[in-house]
Amino acid sequence: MANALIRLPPEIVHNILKYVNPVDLARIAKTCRMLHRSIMQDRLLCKEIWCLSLDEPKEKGLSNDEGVKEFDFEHELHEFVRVQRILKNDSSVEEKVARLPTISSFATKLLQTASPKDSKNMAVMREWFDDKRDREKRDNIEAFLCQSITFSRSRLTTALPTPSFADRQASAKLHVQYGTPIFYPRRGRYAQVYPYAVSMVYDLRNYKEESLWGPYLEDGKASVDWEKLEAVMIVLGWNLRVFTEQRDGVFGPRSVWREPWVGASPGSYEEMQGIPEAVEEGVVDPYGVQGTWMRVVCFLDFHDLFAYNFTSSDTDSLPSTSPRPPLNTNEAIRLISMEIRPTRTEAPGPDDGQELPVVFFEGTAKSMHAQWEPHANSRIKGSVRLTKEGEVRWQSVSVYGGEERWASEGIQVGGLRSARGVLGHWFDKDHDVHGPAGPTAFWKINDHLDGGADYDSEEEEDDDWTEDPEEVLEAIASLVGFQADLG
Amino acid sequence: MATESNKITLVSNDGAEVVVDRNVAERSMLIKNMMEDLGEAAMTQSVPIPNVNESVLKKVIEWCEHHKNDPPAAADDDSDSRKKTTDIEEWDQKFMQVDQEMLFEIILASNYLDIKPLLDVGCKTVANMIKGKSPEEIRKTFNITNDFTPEEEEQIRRENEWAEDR
Repeated sequence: MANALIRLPPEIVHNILKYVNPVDLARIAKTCRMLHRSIMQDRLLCKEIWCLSLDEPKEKGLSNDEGVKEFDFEHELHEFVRVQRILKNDSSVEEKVARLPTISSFATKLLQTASPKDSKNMAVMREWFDDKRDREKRDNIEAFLCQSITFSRSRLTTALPTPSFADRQASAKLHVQYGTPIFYPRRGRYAQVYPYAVSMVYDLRNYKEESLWGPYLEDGKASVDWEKLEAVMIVLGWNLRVFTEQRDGVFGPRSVWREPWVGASPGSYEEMQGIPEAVEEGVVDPYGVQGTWMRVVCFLDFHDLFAYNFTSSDTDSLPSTSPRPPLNTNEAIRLISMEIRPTRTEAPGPDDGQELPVVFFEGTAKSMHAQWEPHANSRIKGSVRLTKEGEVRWQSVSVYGGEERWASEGIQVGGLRSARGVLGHWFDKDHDVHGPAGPTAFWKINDHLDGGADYDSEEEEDDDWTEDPEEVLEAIASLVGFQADLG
Repeated sequence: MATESNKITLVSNDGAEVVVDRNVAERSMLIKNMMEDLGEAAMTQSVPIPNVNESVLKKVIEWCEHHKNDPPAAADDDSDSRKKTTDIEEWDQKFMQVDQEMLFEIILASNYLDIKPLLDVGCKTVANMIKGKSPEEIRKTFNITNDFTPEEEEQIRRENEWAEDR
C-alpha cells in the first residue's frame, strides 16, 4: 500500500518536507532510514525551507574578503535554528551576551542577503528585537544592541562585566544596522546614553592620523570602528529629535532611521521618481553617487569643544586610554542638500577593496537653514571606494570660495547602494588637532540633479534657491527615528 | 454518459461513473490536457481515471467544486507574487480532516491528476502533523518503525547536533 508516509514517492515526500520548520528536519531525520535518506539526499530541500521564511539570497552583496560566495543553505539553515533558539529563549541578559558574536554575524548575513523590497529577513529580525512590551524581547535589545562601551559606561549597576573588544564592536555594529538609536536601554539600569556618545564623538583624541580621522580603527586601512559609528548615530539621532521637538514637529512614520533594520541592506535605496539621469560618458557609477543627498552635520560650540578637550580640570590627569567624562550639552545642527555627480574613476589602490573602482565626485552643498548664514553654500568634492573589509567608504571635502575647509570620512551602513546612507566624522581638512570636528550623516533622496552639481559652470553663490521649511521638515521626518523608552 | 454538453463523465478504477462539470474537472491539469487533445469526442465518452477509486475521486471533485473559481496559479512557481506560506485556509483545513489513509490517497490522486493546489494543501497538512513532534512522536503518528542500528543512530544523532539545545 502506498498510502503511508514512508511509502510515498520521493517527490511527494519532498513536497511535504519543504513545509516543515527548520528545526523539525533534525527530528524527522532521526525517525527512520527512509526519511533520513530523503533529507540527506535532497539538495533542494534546505533551500526551499529557507525561502519559505527568509529571502532567497541574490548575488548582489559584496561579502568580506573572499568575494561572493556560494550560499550554503544547509549550513545557514542550521545556523538560523541556533540563532532563533538563542533569541527566543528565556535566559538572562548575562547568558545571552555570551552569544553576541553568533547573533551579530548572522544578522549581518541576513541583512547582506535581504531583498530590497518586502524583506522576510527584516520581518524576522524585527520580530526578534522589536516588541517593546515583551520582557524577553527587551532582553534581546539589551543583550545584543547595548553592549558597546557607550552603553556599558552608562550602566548604573555593575552587574555585567564590560564586554570584550570584539563583543563591543559586534554589538555596536548590530545597533548601527538596527538604525533607530536607543537612548535609554532600560530605566533604572542605565543612565541616558547621549552624554556618553557625546564624549566619544567630541573627544578630539579620536581624530588622528592612525585612524585616518574617520570612524575607523587605528590600522590605517579604514577598518570600521563600529563603536565610533554608533556614537555618531546616537548623537545625530538625539539632535534630530531635539530639533524636531523644538518645532512642534509631528511627523509621519516614513523614514530612514525610524524603522528598525530598514535600509541597512545592499541595494535598498530605490529610485522612486523615474529613470535615473545618465551619468557622463566614460564614467561609471556603481555606488549610485549621482543624485541629491540629504546631509546632517552637528557641531559643538567651539569654546565648549576646546574647554572639553583642553582646559577642563581633569584633562591633564586623564590617561590616554580613558574616555572623557560624559557631557550633556547643546549642539548646533545643520541640514544640507547635496547634489553630486561622478566625474572620473580610478583603479582601487593596494589598501582598498578590489571589487570596485574608486569613483570621484563633485557637486554643490546648500544649507537648508537661513540663507543669510555664512557658508550656506559650498562646493563639494570627494570619492567613494571599498575598504579591505568590503565596506563602502566615502570621503568628501567642502570648498568655500575656492578654498578647502572641511573634510569628512564615513561608511555606508548596509553597503553598496543602501538606503540608510553614510555615517561618519567631519573635521578640519588640515587635520588641526584643536578641531573643530563632529558627526555627520548623509543619505540619498533621489537620483536627480537640478544643475547644482555642475561644478564648473555655476556661480559660487547661488541665489535662486529659497528656504523651504516644508522641505526641511520633510527631510527630518524622513530621517529621525524615535526609540521609545524601553524601561 | 453525460447528457448536458458542459458535463463530462469520469470513471474511477473501481468502475464508478462520476458526472462532473467540465470546468470543475479541469482543475485537474491531466483532465484539462486530455480534453484539449480529445476535443469534441471528450464530451461524448467517459474518461477513465485508472489510479483513483470512487470515494477518493468524489472527495477530490468536492475540492475542485469548491475551488472552481480560484484564479489560476501563476505560471512561474517561484515568482515573488505567489505568497509562499504554510497557512491553510479554513475550508481546506476542514476538508482535510480525514483519516490518514484517505489523506495520503488524496495526495496521491492530486499528484496523479496534476491538481497542484490540492497537492500543496495535502502536503502542508502532513507537514503540520510533523511540526514540533519528537522523533518518537513522529514514528507513532505515521506508524514508522525505527530501523536504525545503534551505530547508525549514534551517527545520526551527531549529524543533527545543530538542532540540540545546548
